[in-house]
Amino acid sequence: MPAGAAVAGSPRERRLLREDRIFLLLSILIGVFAGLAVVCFRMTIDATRWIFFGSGLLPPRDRVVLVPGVVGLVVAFLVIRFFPRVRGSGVNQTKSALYIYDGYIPGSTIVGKFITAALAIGSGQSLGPEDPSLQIGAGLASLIGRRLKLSRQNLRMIAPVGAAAGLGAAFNTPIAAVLFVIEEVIGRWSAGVLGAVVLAAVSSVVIVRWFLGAEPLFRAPGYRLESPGELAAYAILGVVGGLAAMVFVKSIKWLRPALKALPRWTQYFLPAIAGVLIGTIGLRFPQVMGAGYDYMDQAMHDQYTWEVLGILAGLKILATVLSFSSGTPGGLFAPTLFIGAMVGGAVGGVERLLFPHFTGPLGAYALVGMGALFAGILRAPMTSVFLVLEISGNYAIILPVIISNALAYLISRSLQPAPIFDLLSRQDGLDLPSLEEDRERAVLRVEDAMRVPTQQIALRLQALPPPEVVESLPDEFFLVQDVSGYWGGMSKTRLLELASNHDSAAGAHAEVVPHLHPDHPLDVAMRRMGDWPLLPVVHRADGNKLVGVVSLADILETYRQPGPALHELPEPAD
Amino acid sequence: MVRLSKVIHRDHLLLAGLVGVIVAFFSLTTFAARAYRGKQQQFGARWYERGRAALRQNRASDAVADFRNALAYSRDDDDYRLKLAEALMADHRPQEARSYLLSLWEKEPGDGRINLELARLAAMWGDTPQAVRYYHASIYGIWDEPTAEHRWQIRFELSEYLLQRNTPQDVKAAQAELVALAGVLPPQDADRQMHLGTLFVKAGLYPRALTAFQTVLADKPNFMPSLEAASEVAFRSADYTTARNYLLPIVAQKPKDEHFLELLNLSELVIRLDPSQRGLPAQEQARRALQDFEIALGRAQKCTPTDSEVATLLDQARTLRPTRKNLASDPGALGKTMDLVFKLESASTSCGPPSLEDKALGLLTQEQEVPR
Repeated sequence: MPAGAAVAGSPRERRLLREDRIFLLLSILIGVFAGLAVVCFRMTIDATRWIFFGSGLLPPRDRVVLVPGVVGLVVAFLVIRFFPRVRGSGVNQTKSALYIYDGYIPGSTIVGKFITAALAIGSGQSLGPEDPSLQIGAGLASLIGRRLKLSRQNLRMIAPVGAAAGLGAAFNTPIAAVLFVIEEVIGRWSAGVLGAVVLAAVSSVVIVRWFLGAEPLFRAPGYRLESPGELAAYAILGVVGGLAAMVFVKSIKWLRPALKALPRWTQYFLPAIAGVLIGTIGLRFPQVMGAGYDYMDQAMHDQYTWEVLGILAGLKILATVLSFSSGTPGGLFAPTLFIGAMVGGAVGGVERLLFPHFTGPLGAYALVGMGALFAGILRAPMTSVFLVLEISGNYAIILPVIISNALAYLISRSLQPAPIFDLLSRQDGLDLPSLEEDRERAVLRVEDAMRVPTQQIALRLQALPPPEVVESLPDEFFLVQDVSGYWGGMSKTRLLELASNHDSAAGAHAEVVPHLHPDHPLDVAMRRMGDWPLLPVVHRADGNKLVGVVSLADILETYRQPGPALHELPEPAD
Repeated sequence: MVRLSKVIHRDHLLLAGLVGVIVAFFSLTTFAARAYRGKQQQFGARWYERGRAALRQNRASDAVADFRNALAYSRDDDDYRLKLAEALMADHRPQEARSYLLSLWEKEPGDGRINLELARLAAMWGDTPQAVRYYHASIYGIWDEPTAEHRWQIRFELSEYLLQRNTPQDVKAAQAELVALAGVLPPQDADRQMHLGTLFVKAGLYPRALTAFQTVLADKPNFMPSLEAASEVAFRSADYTTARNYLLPIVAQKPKDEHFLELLNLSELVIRLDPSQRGLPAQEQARRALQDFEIALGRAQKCTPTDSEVATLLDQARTLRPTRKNLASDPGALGKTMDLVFKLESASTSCGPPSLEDKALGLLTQEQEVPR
C-alpha cells in the first residue's frame, strides 16, 4: 500500500515516496507475472492428467485407483522432505505473510505448490487449482517485492496484491478476486490497496484470457425469473446449501486434526490412502476426481438426474474432506463449487418434481447452488454473489443468488460459527485475525460513551452564574457556548474572570476544541481527544446544539464494559 | 536531490530488469501455450470425429461420451455442443439435449441449425406452436452456404411435421408452407419438385401437386416417377383426359402394370361414358346417358329383391323409361336420368363386384357428389 504522500526529507520518507511512484506499476507487473504462472499451472495440471489418464474424461479403470495412490506417495514425499510449507490453505498462508511474516513467502513455496498441487489435482485428488494459484500469485509478489527492497509496510501488502492476481487468473473473474482478497485477506478498503489489487487482478485476467480465451468458466443456460414465487425455491436451496456447508466444514474440523495427530511416519501415506479411497469412489463415480469443472458444466446442462446429483454432492464432500485433511496440497474453491452445483441441481430436480410450475432450468439451480456453498463454506458473501455472476456471465440470476447465498451464509454461520479459514489457521497453530469476526463485531461509538451535558460542565457565556458558583464547581475545564453559538472550551480561571465581569463575558470567545458527533467511532474520539479533558458532542445538522460531552475516562470506561461487541470469542479449534 | 535521482535510476533499472524477465516468461508461456492448444485441438478433433462416426453408426450413447470428451477440450466450440445435443437427442435424452441447445441459442439466437434442433425437440414433445416458431426461426436464420437449400429443406421438414399432425389447422398451415416453397424452388430441381408434389398430394392440393409434377415433366418428359405421380394426381382430380395422356406412355412402357392399366381403362371409360363433357352434340349426350342408364340398371337388378332402396329406384327407372329421342330433345329428362343413374350406382355398391363400367360410373358419381 502506498504509504501516503510523504514529503521527501528523511531517508525513510524518500523511500516511501519512491515506492509510491512504483507501487501501482509494480501491481500491474505482478498481475502479469501471476497470470503467466497461473496459465502455466493450469496447463501443467491438464498435461499431468493426460499423462496419467489419457485424453478422455473418464479415466481408464485400470489406473483410476492406482494413479492417485502412487502419486499420493510422491506428493507426500515432496511435501514432507522438500516443501513443508505448501501444506494447507493458500489463503491462510497469504494472510500469514501479511500479518505474521512481514510479507515473506519463500520462493520454494511457489515452486513446491506448483509441482505438488499439479501432481495431486492431475492425479485425481479432489482438490482445486484456485487456492494454489492464489498462493503462487502471492508468492511471486512477495519475491518481486523483496527483490525491489520494498519497505516492510509495502512488502506486507504486496502478497495480497499477488493473491488477487492469482485468484483472478484462476477463475477468470477479476471482480470476485478483488472482493475475496478484500473480504478475506486484507479486511479493509482503502484507495491505495484497492487500486493495486484491482490493477493486479485485471492484468492477470488479461493475460489468462490472452492465452486461454475470454469465455466465462461456465456457459449456463439462459435464466429468467418467471414469477416472484420462484424465489422461494431458491430460498430452500439456500437452506440446504447452508446445511451442506456445515457438514463439509465440520467434517474437516474433525478429520484434519485427527489425521495430523497420527505418528509422523503415517503422513507419508495419508495422501496415498486418500487417493486410493477417492480412486475407489471414482470407479463408479469418476466425476468426483480432480477439480471437476467439466462435470459442473454437465450438471448445469441437465445431464444428471437429481438422485445422481445428490449422490455426487455427498461423495464430493467425502472425497474433498479426505484429500484436504490428508495434507495433500490443493484448494477448496473448485470442490466447493462442485458440491454447490450438485446440491443445487439436486434441490432443483426435487423441486421440479414437487412443484412443476417452477420453470427455472436446472442449470440455474446448479449455478445458484455454487454461490450458496461458496457463501456457506468459504464465508465470503459478497464474493460469492459476484463470482457466480462472473463465472456465468449471466446477470439475470442475481436475485436468486443473493437470496440463496444470504440464507446459506446465515445458516452456516449459526451452525458452525468459526469460518473454515479461521478454523484451519487455528488448527495450524496460527493466530490470524478473523475478518468475519471483525466484520461482525459491533463498533463502539461516541454515543456509547458520551454523558448528558449538565450545567456543571457546559455553560453559556451570556448567562454565566455568579463567581462564587463557578468557584464551587469541581472541574478545572468547562465547555462553554459563546455569543456566536459555538461550543468551545475554557479554563476555570478564565471563567472566573468572565463571571466577575458580565460585560466582557458577553463578547468573549470560547477556545476552539475539536467537535465530535454521536456516530463517530470511539477510535475517532481517541484521536481527537489529544490533551483536552473534555470534548463536546454536537448534532450533525446543528453544530450549535450540544447533545453530549465525552472525556478520556468515559471512553476507557466504555471499552472496559463487557458489551455485545466483545462477547464473541474465537471458537476452540479442537 | 542527487540521492533521490540515484534511487529513481536504480528503480528504473530494476523495473527494466523485471520487464525483461516478464518478456522471457511471456515468450516461454507462448511457446508452451501453443503446444498446449495444439494438443487440445488435436484431442478435441479426435474425439469429435469419433463421436461423428459413432453417430453415423447409430451408436448414440458412445457418441454422447465422445462429444463430451471433445467438449472438454473446447468448451466454447458451438459445433461440439450442437453435435452433443444431436447425439443426446439420438440417444433419447431430449431434456439433456434441450439444455445444451438453449445455452447455444442464448449465444446465437439467429443460428439456423440451433433453431432447427430446438424445433425438432419441440416437435418431439408435441409442442406445435413452439416447434413452428423454432422452424420459422431456423428457416429465416443464419446458415452456411448453400443457404437456400438449407431453408428449403427445413420448410419441407416443417410441412411434413404439420401434415403428420393432420389436424385441419395444421394441414392448412402445411399448405401455406408448401405454397411458399413452390414459389422458390427451382423448376429444374426434379427431386425437390417431386417431393413438393408428393406433399401437395398429402395436403390435398391436387392441382398444385399436378403443377409440381408437370414442372418436372416439362424438363424431363419421359421421367417415369413424374409421369406416374402426375397421372395419379390427375386421376384423383377427376381430370381423366389429362390422366389418360400421362397413362398412355406409362402403359406403353409398363404394359403389364395392372394398376396403371386399370387407371387407363377407367379413364378412357369415364371419358366415353360422361354425357356432360363439353362440346358433345345432344345425340351423343343422349346415347351416353342411355348407355349409363343401362349399365346402372343392370347392376341394380343383380341386387337382392329385399333391398328396399334399390327396389324403389328400380320402380322409378321403370316409370322413367328414357329413350334416346326423349333424352336428346329434353335436357330435363337427361338430367333426371343421370340423377337416377348416380343413385342406382350409389345404392348398388354392395351388389356384387363392380364391372369396369360400374367403376367408371362410380367415379362419375363421385365427381357429381364432389364438385371439381
